[in-house]
Amino acid sequence: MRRKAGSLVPLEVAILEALIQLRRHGTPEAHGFLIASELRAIGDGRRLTAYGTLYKALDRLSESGAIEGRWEDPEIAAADGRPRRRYHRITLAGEAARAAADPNPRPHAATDRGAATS
Amino acid sequence: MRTIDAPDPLAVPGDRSVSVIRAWVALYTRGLPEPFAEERRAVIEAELWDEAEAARWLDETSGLARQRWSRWVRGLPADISWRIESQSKIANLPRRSDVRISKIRLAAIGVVVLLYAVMIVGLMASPSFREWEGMPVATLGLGMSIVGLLLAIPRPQGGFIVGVLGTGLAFLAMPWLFPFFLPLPLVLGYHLVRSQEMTQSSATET
Repeated sequence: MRRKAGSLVPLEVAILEALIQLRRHGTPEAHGFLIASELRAIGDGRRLTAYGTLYKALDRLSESGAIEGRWEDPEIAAADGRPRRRYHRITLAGEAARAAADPNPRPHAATDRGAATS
Repeated sequence: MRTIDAPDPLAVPGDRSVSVIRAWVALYTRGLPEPFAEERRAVIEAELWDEAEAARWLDETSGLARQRWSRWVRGLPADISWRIESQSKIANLPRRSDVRISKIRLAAIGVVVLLYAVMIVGLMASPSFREWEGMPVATLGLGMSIVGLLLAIPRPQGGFIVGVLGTGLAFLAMPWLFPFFLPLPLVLGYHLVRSQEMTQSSATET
């Protein structure tokens, strides 16, 4: 099913909400797994969002300007002995989009299929 | 992606989910411009690492493999959809310098088509060629070469393959005409490389 340009699916709204919650708790930017964990915490608490679904939604939000991303300094990742992370933060446009969207997004009600077919 | 040949820190004994996920990511990013593909591979690799680290931290490694399989399977439709969308975006990218350069390449391809047309006409005009036993292979090779040259305009890779195969056949049938067969692989090879470079640089610009 095609969606209107600029409209957000419930998962995308939930991601924006997760980024707002994380920022409120002192984490202004978050990597993919942290976002997935936060989505689980504010959702039904059972399953983590699928890899493909999560990164497709992040790509869409980034393209629409609702979030912006940056790659972590490779030296920090190397010092920790792990792969480099991509961090995401919500923008003013993202906050406005979140405010205009459904006040109670349910990330798992959105389902993985919901984001994939949008 | 991992480059060190050491035990995989993400591995769970008896579980192949990480290698399957890596193979799948490599498959659905295959053929995309490298910045696109590399970015997707890198975020998934970081995600797998963070997921494994969190499971260790929370002492929940027993359910890690099942969780990975579940997240992978549920995300398959989104991966395929992402691939299709990425491919369309790349195909629609503006190519500012493509028109100017493609005129040069078009002219080069046109010259080689002319060369092959002259060869076919010249050879067909000769009664000994028409009666020669190698004539079908030579004609097929020359014909395929022309098809490859024309096909290369919209599809550089396909055109290159058909053109080089055709010229290879023609060369096998008529090795003494070797110098006339050299321009085709050179022109189509250059065209293929330039097309791929431009696709990649367009993707990088965006």
